[in-house]
Amino acid sequence: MSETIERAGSGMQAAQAPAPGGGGATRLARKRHSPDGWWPALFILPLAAGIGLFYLWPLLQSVYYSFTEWGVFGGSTWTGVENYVRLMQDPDVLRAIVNTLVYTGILLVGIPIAVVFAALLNRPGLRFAMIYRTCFFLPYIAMPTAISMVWRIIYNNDYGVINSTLRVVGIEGPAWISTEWFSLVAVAIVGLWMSIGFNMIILSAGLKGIPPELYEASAIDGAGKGRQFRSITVPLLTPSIFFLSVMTFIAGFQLFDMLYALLGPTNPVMPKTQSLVFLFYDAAFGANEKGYASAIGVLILLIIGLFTLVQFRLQRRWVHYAD
Amino acid sequence: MTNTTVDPATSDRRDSGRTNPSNKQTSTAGDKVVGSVSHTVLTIWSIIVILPMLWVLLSSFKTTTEIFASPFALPEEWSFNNYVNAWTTSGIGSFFSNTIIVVFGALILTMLFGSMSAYVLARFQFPGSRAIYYLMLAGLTFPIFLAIVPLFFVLQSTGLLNTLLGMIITYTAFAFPFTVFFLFSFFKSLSTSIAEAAAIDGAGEWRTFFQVMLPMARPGLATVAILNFVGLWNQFLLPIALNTNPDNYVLTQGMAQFAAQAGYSIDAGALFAAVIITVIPVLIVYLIFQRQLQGSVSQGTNK
Repeated sequence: MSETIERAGSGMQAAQAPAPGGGGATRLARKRHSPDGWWPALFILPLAAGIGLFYLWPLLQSVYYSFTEWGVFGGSTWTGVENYVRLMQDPDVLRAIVNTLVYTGILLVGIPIAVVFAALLNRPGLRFAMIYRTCFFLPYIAMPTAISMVWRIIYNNDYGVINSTLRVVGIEGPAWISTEWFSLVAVAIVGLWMSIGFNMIILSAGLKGIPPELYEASAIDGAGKGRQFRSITVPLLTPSIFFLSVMTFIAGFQLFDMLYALLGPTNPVMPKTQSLVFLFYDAAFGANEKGYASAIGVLILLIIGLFTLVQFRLQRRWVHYAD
Repeated sequence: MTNTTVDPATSDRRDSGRTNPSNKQTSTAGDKVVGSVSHTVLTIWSIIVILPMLWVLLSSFKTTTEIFASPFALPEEWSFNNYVNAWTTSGIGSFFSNTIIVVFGALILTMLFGSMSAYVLARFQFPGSRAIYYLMLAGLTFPIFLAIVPLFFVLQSTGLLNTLLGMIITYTAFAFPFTVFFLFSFFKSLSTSIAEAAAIDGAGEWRTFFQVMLPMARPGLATVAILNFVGLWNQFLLPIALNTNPDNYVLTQGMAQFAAQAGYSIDAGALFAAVIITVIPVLIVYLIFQRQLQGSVSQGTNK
């Protein structure tokens, strides 16, 4: 897993902050040994304490909690794998896995779309590129809960903009956010709408790394724009595309805010639309079954880990690294 | 094929287009076709993105009945009533100040301690330094929600549950791994010779860090700060689980509260005004950051 983040992190950096003097890391002097005095420890202490107490210790405890059951007034008893047995027989869990996969699958569609957009946007000499870029990025920085509330009104069955527009042309639209499957797709469309801007930022950074000589050489050899896109742009973008697909999976599996705000927590269709994280939240703070919730949490972690691992295994077949 | 002849302008254009996008273009027919296709596609997507946003902005000046009766008309009367209602009646005002306190509190702590830790980890080797680095990676790998249940108990037993201070600490811990990880690679890429020169000139480690290294790392700091700001400003799962006192709600919870009142009684006017209020700070920070980042990158490389 650490490899994921290492690559993810460097991809992130390449995308967001072109560090001055790029080649610095290679000619970096060896780390200095035995610094003077205690001050490095002093610098590190708040970090170690904060992370330990508020992040890592809770994470370890989560795993422990997943083997326990919590009473109404607190206090836990060790129940072994009972939570996990229940997990495997729970139809809600299976449905939540399917929902989360469908949602993530729709988000993944955003990557090829963003590849085309990014290739068009990053053509040299394109006018208004900055305006386009800011427009596209806007939904990504906007607050997901706020955006979801807006879409909730757009989607509304009776007075929503979509259905009242459809009604004008004589079509009775579906009850978008209270019909099984439609509700999930409705959420995913908003997710897609928000994520394309982020995808494009990452891909734009990848495009900047493609040597222009390749396009010149291929043009001399008679390649048209379409051919250049297929044979140069896409293959050389595969590292960025790979990074995005890993990130999309991780983000997709943590669907929560938008589901909560767009459908509303008490929406009758929620049990058929909920994601794994929503199920987790509901178990932990709604039903107050913190042990079972922890087991769901561990399950999500395992699924994310598994998919990330598979993606890393498969990358050798399609990801093209320049070096 | 329009591109079979060598176009001498192509290479120049590609290189200079990168640094100077407004460069004048002498184009072939193929370029023109692709150019107009680009603009068409990009404009369509811009409209798809911007139209709902503009609609929200326009609607925020209309009355709720107007919004539903004539959704696409301009407001009959431009009124700030919705903003006043959202700010006071719907409580967005107090959620806003709570969010400012929590996000900026966490941001200051994260940036200060995060940069210190990243610097030490990047420059020195000492017993446990690798262990701490890997702990950081582990922190990045695990999704936050997994820590929420035990965190609930940690905060409860320290009396920090449902308090703004508790949220500041939680947000800080949550933003820490990414911050340190990002700045770690940034400090590694900075030349050590300047720090050593400062040390030879007699600057202590504290001075070297705060007066020499930190200013040099400005582009990296700016990037992390903006990403953290957006991430924390929009954070929802942490507060909804760990901050259930309505007095201490943050904006995301305020927005979700509109979801809870639901149905027909929803004050759409106030809701839209609230949406605008929540988006504006992030937008401002983003626009400022874009310029500043560009400036500090070139500044950093010139030194």
